[in-house]
Amino acid sequence: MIERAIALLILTGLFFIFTLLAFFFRHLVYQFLCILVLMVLQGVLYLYLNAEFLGAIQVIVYAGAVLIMFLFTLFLFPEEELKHLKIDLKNLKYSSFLPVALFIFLLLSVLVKGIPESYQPRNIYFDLKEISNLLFNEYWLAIFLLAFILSFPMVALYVFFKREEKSGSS
Amino acid sequence: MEVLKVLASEYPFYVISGLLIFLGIGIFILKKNLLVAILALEVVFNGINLLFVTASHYLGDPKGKMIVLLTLAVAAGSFAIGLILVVNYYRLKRSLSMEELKLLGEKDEE
Amino acid sequence: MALSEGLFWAIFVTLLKIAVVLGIVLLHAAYTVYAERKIIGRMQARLGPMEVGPYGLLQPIADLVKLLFKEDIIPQEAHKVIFQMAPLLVLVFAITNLSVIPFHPSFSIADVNLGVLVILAFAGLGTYGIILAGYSSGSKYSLLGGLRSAAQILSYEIPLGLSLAGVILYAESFRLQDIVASQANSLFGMNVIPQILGFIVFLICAFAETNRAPFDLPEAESELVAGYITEYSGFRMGIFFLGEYISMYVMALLISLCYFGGWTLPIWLTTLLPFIKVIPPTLILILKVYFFIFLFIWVRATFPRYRFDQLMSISWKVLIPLALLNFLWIAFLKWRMLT
Repeated sequence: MIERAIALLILTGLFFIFTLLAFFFRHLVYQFLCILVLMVLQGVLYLYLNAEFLGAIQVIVYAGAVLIMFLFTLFLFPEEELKHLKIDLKNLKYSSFLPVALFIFLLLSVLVKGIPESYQPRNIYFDLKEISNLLFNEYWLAIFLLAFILSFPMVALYVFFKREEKSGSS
Repeated sequence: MEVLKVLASEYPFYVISGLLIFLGIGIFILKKNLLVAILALEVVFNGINLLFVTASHYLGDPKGKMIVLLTLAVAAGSFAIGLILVVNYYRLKRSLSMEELKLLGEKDEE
Repeated sequence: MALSEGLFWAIFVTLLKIAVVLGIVLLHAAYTVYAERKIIGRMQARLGPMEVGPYGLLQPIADLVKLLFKEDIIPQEAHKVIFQMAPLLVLVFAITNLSVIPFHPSFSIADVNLGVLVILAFAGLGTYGIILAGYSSGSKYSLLGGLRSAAQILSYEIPLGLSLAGVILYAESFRLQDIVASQANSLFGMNVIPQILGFIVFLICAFAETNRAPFDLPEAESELVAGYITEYSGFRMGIFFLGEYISMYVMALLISLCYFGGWTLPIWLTTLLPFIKVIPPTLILILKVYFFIFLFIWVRATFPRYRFDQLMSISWKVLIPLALLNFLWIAFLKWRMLT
């Protein structure tokens, strides 16, 4: 238990540091790099929740594919657009801090009351056989819907670039 | 010892997911830039995922992890579409500011 | 509450294992450069390095000394922090892959039950080193090299994962030890024979993932000066080359573990030639790895480079359908075997 507590303390500290950095960097590429570190750390965090498969998927899909796509798009823009992104405080109202205050109040109230015994984890082992059983027996409709939805981006891309070609040639 | 007990429970996970969600919403509102907006939405999405997985671990129900697995795939696709929209908006308007984004559709070019 | 008793002993053993693996692999990476120069020289009817030591055997050490003493130049336009960090990212993620690979039935640094996925994840993260090196140099050639490598690796990761899915389905496990054991117990003895399509797809993708010829478009020296390493000099360039050679070794190890039975020999071969059983298991693995490293060098000496649109259309129009076909065939085979 003590190892888990120390590891989670270090991870929480890293999350705080990189969140602050991501908030205050002006250059979009640096900001992006901080968010990348956050995503990889979240994959590490999943290991502490007995979800090794989700951790690997998080790193492969998010850090490995989706964010590389974003970085690729960033390089298509000229450097001047990415350089000085100022924080715009003009239109900010004080009431927008209400949710943050509520969140901090809730966390503090949990700390004051103490952690009840029932919040200790029940040991569930989440392995791949269990996932696939659940996915293909109980959630088959969701998977088919997902495949249907995921075919939309492909079709959209195809239609978009066909139209682009047509307008470019004429 | 009481502190260690708190740290080993699900408390730090709630703190971290709150951090991610507020980071996302904060940079979405404060930096009025379309590229940042798309990145911020992803960050919020990840914070919510973490909340789902935490709840599923501590309540002993695999459904939360299942939901995350299904929505991750949809998020990757929607992210790509969002990027296409931003790149094309920049081609038309030569600007990334969210405040100039007033009209939708073909009339925008006038 | 106290720290467990065997923790320090376990940490010590792990550190020792890391030292052994790292020492052997770094030595191999250094001498692969020598082997590459020698073999390409022989194929082009030259001698290759001959000056330093007998047959030029001390050439890697001389190269290392030269790289360490060169001046380390940072361009004025560069983003300094990213520029200094990028080579390290490439090297670190290449080396981390070695930690989950078993070299012997009982020797691996970390016995992870998601070994294949971990390797895929770190291979994906290693791309950031190349892209950021291209961006932070502040030069057009570097940026073009980085963009090319991003597009290339993004599109070649999909057939790589799909062809590995066939292997995983056949072995019913993500652990590399289990994959090797299932091959030894099966009828064919090696995964190559039932899934030759998957093997071909994986081999092509391995060339593309390690940026080797004929897919070395990110550093094509005839179009972009040296791609993403144009602005690097001294030991930072050396680190890039080291990362490239280590990732070559990782890919060769992965091919021989997933498709060629790792440290086991197929049953039909051992019944045919019984004396072959005396070869120790690690030596079998090493021989297979050497063969694939030789294949990497051989292909570099013989094949011309592809154009970029050809590269993209190979991945999306040929390799992905082939990998899907292979996956369907393995699913059919597995279904026939189970019923």
